[in-house]
Amino acid sequence: MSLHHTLLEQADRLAKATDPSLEQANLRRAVSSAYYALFHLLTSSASSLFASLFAIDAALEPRIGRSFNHGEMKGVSEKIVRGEWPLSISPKDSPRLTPSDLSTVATAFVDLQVARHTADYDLTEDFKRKEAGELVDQAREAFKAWERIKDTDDARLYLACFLLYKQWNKER
Amino acid sequence: MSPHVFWQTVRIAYERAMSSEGGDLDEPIDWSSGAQAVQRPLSSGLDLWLSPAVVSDFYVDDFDFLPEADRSRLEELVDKFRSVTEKVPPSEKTSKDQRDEARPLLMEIAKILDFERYQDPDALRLGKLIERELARYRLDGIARLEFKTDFDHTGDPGIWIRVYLDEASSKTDDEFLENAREIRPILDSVARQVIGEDGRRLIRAGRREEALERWPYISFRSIGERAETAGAT
Repeated sequence: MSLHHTLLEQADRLAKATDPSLEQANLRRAVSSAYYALFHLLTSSASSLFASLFAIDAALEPRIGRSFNHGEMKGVSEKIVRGEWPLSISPKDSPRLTPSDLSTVATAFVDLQVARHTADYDLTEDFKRKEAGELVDQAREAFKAWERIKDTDDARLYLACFLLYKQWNKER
Repeated sequence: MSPHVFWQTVRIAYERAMSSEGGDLDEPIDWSSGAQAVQRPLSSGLDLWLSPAVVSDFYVDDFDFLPEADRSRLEELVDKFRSVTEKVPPSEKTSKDQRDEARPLLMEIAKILDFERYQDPDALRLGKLIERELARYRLDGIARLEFKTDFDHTGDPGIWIRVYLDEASSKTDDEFLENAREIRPILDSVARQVIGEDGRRLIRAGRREEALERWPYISFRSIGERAETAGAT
């Protein structure tokens, strides 16, 4: 089983764990794992894309995977949800539309990254079991949406944008 | 104008009035956010919330996002509160009659601003607009919405919307998730639409610096979980 699927399974189990003495730790780890599940799904897909594009040995894919930056991926995801594709692939006179499934994935990425940050660092408020379960469910729905859209140009461009957005967004 | 100063001063006064029930206050209030605030001498025995400064920055047009009935009532309450508090000499100890007359007015103003559900002035404006738009969808299962605005860990502006589902919609985990799955995309879309329209309106009004493209962060709890939290505190 891939790391991203294992992390999603772990998130699901932690959100459903019933030991009261570990509840907060489990719920916070559930949210964190849900985010990392989606993060690794997208970075492994992007690594495969770049590896195949440049005919790079598949064994080097993990090295490509380390090029991706959480903050930049969040920024790109926000833009794609808002329909702000880079200018070179979405000219002003013919803007590219973001498909609903891709929007689901990108929205979940932003939401879960911020939730993960809260889960790991903000101790001012407790997580609730249903609340954590719903965030895990958001990751699960994003996985399903990604499965539907992953072989489209929109999905591949989204992945490429994680590294190329700024270059592609320069006015010619 | 902007409702921020009014909101802040009412909140401070409300907390003071709540905590001073049955007693007087010694600690000073910082009215610096309220323009032309009437300063009471900071000596023991004075009810510092009992001042027209609390409402001096109220402009009814700042609250055009409120339903007409709430806006009119707010204006009426502010006028009455001002009228009552203007009669209180700034440097003298307040009487029980004065406090009893002003306190219910302040409480009702605070009830309209609903600090628990709308945790800051932007959350009040956007929250009310989002709720109004969301009502068109006639969604079942929402018991309560809470709003707050802030910046996320990357410094981007957001609005955090917490949805409490009613008991019937959260009997089992599956039912809870099913309802959340239905509500999340609609609420997300409505929030983005409202935030976009609000931003354009602020820009037209020359308030570009306030027109933040906030990301809607939505979370779900059951109303039973809220009761647990309230019980714990």
